[in-house]
Amino acid sequence: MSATMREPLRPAPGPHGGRTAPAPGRGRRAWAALGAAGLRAVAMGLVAFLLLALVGPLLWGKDPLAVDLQSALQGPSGTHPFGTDELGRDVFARFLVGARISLAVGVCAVFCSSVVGTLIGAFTGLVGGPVDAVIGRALDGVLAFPALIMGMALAVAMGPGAVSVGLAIAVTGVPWYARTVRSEVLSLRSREFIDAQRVLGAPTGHILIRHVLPSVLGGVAVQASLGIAYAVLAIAGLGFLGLGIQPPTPEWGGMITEGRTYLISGQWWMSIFPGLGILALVTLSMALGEGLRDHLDPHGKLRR
Amino acid sequence: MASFVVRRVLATLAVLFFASLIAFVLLRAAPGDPARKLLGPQASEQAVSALRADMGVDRPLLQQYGTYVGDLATGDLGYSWRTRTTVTAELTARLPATLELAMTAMAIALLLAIPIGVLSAGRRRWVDRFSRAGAIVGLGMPQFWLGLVLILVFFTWLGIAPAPFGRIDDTVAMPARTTGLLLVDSLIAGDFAAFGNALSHLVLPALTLAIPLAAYLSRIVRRSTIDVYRNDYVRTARAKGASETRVLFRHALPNALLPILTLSGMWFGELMAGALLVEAVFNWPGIGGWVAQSIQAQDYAPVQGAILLGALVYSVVNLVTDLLYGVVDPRIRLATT
Repeated sequence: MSATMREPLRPAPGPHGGRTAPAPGRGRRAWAALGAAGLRAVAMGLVAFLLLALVGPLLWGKDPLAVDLQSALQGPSGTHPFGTDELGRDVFARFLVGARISLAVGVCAVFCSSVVGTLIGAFTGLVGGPVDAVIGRALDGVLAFPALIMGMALAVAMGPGAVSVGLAIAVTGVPWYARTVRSEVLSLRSREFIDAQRVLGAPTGHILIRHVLPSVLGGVAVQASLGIAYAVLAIAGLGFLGLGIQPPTPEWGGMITEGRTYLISGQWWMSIFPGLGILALVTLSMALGEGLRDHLDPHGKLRR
Repeated sequence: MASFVVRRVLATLAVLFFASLIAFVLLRAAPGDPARKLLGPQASEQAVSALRADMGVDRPLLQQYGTYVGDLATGDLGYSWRTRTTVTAELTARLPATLELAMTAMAIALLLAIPIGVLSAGRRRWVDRFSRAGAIVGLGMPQFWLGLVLILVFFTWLGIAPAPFGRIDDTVAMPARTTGLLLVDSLIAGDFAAFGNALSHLVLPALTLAIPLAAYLSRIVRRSTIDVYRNDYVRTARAKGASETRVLFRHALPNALLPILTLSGMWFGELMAGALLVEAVFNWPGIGGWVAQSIQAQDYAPVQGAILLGALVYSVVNLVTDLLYGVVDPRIRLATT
């Protein structure tokens, strides 16, 4: 039992794992390499997505906004691989631009919230006491809002658009980074190498930047790749409710809404393809996060 | 123990205070004029300013916040100017629909997640591969899209699901309202036609909500089952000759399910947020659609009410789990400062 359960995400070679190599030691290495290869494949998949978003619209060349009522509501074909929508616009061209929008808004939002969250987490972890308690409660208050609800409120407050969507995702993401970093800092604070720095008389800022931050960045990177996944889902959810990035900009969630009534009568391509795009992007980001976690922390130390 | 309870309750109240503050500030920061929006562009300036005075939005922000908190303290959630009803009345009317959906989804999710999680913790590695792949896909799908796929397959293509509009067909008489939960009410009334109809309407939205949740929970169950099986007490139980079934049900599972309890605040919040979207997909007459409309109309009170309700549910679920944990595990109630 214990052999299969010791490291579940990268299982020890059993009758199946030993398939690639006869000796158990080599089998284990082969598995490790396979795990790393899996992570590489995921990373390559994400890079491919990034390229698709950057140069895809240029290469494909069709205008995502060009209305052509003559060829409205056509199923997937050679000229329109993802079909056309109710205005005859090419769904594939819209899909490519949609990838660009999801990635741009998601990455910006995650970057902002990880920076702010890391700073807050490091600060509260180092300072402790009542400041930590008050900020902690305030962050819990933010945590009570799912990104979707915050996005809805901000869409009303600022008018719906990329800014309100990005801000909602960034704000609701902050507590997650702050929590991760704070707990990491708390456990670091009592470690010898930090004490040694203190004894040597190093200023707090120096300790923070040179010794604490590098140790917490791994956790932040894991959180950030999961954050991209949630961001893409939240962007689509808000778009679906009509409170996200507004049409005619081709945003995946909005595209799914536009295709919704046609889907019920059997013209499925307008809604299904953007959904598959979201699924692929979210799955890849999640796999990257999990892979990074395993890679940085092969024995599950983070789960303390 | 008493001081532990007081501490936790105070912390929860603090969270609720911050949540109410956030909700209030966010909505008041909106640039539009709610009175103008309500009356439309044709209305005279006098009518608009009269309504503004009526709604109280012409007073200073601090004073508005005071009134709002004072009303909250007496359990008054405010008045919806759009539908001309109190928020409390509207919430009570719509809450059962959302609750019925969320509870069914929760039950389905647990029924799927626990066996899958336990099985994939076991020796057969293909089960784990399969459930891991399933979990990734389940978590990666946008929920509203999953709902649309289910509609496409089961309504449009196969024709075995009812049209995705509401909780029950118009042709079927609603059962007399006792709990507001259609399944329960129709059973009480002994109306099996209504029960079947309501159930058939409930299946697809509940599945839509349940699948991502089950994907997430199954991984948690798997993880904690593996952890629990490493403990000495499992080895002891085995050494004493307990059967594997007994080890699983008596020693491992009760401990392995604790993390589900710990995380329940988080996933219940996700469930409610998910209900918002799923209700929109299936035209479900719950809180979700009402909140979405109120937001667009800048109708403050229902939105604040719904946000507070969400924060309240989230905090209370967390409070209850904390307290339960404190009861179960003395280290927790003594360690927190």
